[in-house]
Amino acid sequence: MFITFALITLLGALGMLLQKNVVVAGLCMVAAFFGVAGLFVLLANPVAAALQIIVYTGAIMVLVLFVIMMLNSHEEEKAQVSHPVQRWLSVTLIAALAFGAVKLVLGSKGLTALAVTGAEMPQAMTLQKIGTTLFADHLLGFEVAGLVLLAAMIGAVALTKRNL
Amino acid sequence: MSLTPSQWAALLPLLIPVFGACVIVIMSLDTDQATTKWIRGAMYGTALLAVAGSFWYLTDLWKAGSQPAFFQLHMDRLAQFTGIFVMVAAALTVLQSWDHFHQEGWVKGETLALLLFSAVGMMLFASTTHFVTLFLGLELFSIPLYALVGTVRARSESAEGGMKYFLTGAVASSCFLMGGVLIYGLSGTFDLAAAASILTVKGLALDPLVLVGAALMLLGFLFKVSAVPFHQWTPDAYEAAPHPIAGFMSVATKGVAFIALLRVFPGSFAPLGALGMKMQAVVAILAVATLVLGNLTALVQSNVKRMLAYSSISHAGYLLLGFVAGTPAAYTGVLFYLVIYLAMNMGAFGLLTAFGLVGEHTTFEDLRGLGWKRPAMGFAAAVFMLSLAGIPPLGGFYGKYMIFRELVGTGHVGLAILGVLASLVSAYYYLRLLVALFLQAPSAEAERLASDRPAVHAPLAGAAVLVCAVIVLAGGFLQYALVDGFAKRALVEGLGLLR
Repeated sequence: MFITFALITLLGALGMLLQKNVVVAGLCMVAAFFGVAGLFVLLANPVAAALQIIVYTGAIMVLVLFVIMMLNSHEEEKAQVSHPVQRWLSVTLIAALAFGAVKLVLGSKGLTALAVTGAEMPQAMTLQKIGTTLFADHLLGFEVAGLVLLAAMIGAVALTKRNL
Repeated sequence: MSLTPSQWAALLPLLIPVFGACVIVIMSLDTDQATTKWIRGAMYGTALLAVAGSFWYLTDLWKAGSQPAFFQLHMDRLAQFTGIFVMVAAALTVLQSWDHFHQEGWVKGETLALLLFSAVGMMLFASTTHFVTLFLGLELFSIPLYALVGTVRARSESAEGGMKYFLTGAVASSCFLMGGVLIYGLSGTFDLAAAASILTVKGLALDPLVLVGAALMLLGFLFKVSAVPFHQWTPDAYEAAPHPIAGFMSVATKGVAFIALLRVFPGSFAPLGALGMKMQAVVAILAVATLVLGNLTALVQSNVKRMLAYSSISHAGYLLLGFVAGTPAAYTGVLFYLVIYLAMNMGAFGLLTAFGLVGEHTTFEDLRGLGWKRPAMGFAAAVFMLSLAGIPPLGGFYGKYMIFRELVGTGHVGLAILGVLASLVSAYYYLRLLVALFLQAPSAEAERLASDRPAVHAPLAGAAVLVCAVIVLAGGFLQYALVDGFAKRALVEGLGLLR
């Protein structure tokens, strides 16, 4: 199951990057979000999965697609100069990083220990539990997250509004 | 749920500026031409009041010696020290920005609100060891700064600088997040101090994933202090940003990132001894690279703001050397140096505003002969530049001296010699600014242009510059009183590093 969802996420993300047509790229992003939602379900957290689908795939993606359609530019502009050297360099770098990451994960004693102890199913996260965690343990973080959003909104308005 | 007085005490220093920022945003909705002048005055007044309120509250906490906490927010001595540090920087920035934004013709309330949000995020960032709160603090101070860099939209390059800062900053933030997640995954707790002891008990201190996690977190901090090789954004962002904002970024961001680094690496991660040694080796190499690259590139700059940006990179190198030494006395030196650096750099960026240099006109050419026209500003410039270069009786010298002394004491003699050589090199480009100010006559064309324009009138920026000069001078003559009274107590009672 994990492999399936992980592959959906990865392929969706890759498709989004490589796709030239912006609308199709947006749809690939939807696939990636669905994969992430599936991963949340596997982690016994259906609430996060539902939120992922409602908020990201539902609301945010619709907005993104609307903007793309309103701007009416489905095709990406061609880069003026192609840099084959940079492209190959980045591909080798990514390959090296991926190889290194896999090697790290396989070589980690801590992860093998976790694989043994973490075998039992974790308790499912309910809406009620999320509420108590948010407001009892992470109240400060919750409030600060609100401030971050407010600051980001003011920043966006300050940067883009025509008649400020 | 009701809060206890102690919880309020921990929260209020952050709540006051937040409240001020919200009020300012509402005030800036006013678009009536007739009242604009009054509203502007009221907005700047509110910002100053909010900063002063928080500052006053923090000094009260400091005097009372109480160290309240609210959930993961620990308003201990070190956090109070940071709060006072950030509030002084914010006040100086507000004063300078009144003049600068009037010169640029772009006076908006949103900039003030963003500045206050950023200051709150900085206080939060430096007063917690809980990873979630730490990351939220990082974002709360970075996001407003991204917007502030590009805020003067009338200038074409401001959007470019803002975008560069935003993209690189977002990558650094996500690396920081990834690092914290790796450590959380292996230890099962968000609190970094608890995570360190759990990892030690489990014998995972040198697990490859923990190493990568710690390295990625270090990357996040080093990006914020603009150490090589994460420094490329610095000159572009500073050049694009309004002068007071560039000063605020160079001083407050760097200071807060160093204090948070101090809290996390030598503080929380102290149980992970072997990991600390590895990180120290990395920091030593990067400090050398930062010193060499920052100083050498600063030599060839023709724009004063870019020169100051590279100088701020090289100062990150000196401060990192304090972490290489890693003794409590070295950390005290770092804190003292940060305070002096606050005054020196806010003052240096304030000079540009006080001389009325706007937009692109911030080259050494534009400064020629200005020192004689405004003797008080010229004197302040001399104080800042000599102190930045580390000439003895001034504050900057003692900061460097405390760090280098500890380097020698811990056997890093080579690094100390390199540091001294670097400050010798740096004297060249700092003195170049003084030469332009005092020894070169302005070009005929500049004279003609200056006579056309109305005389520069920047009383608030001038006052802010003089205050900075007084702090630098005080740092030179009262250094031991300041160190014992503030920096050492912040470390002893806040972090428990020295006993």
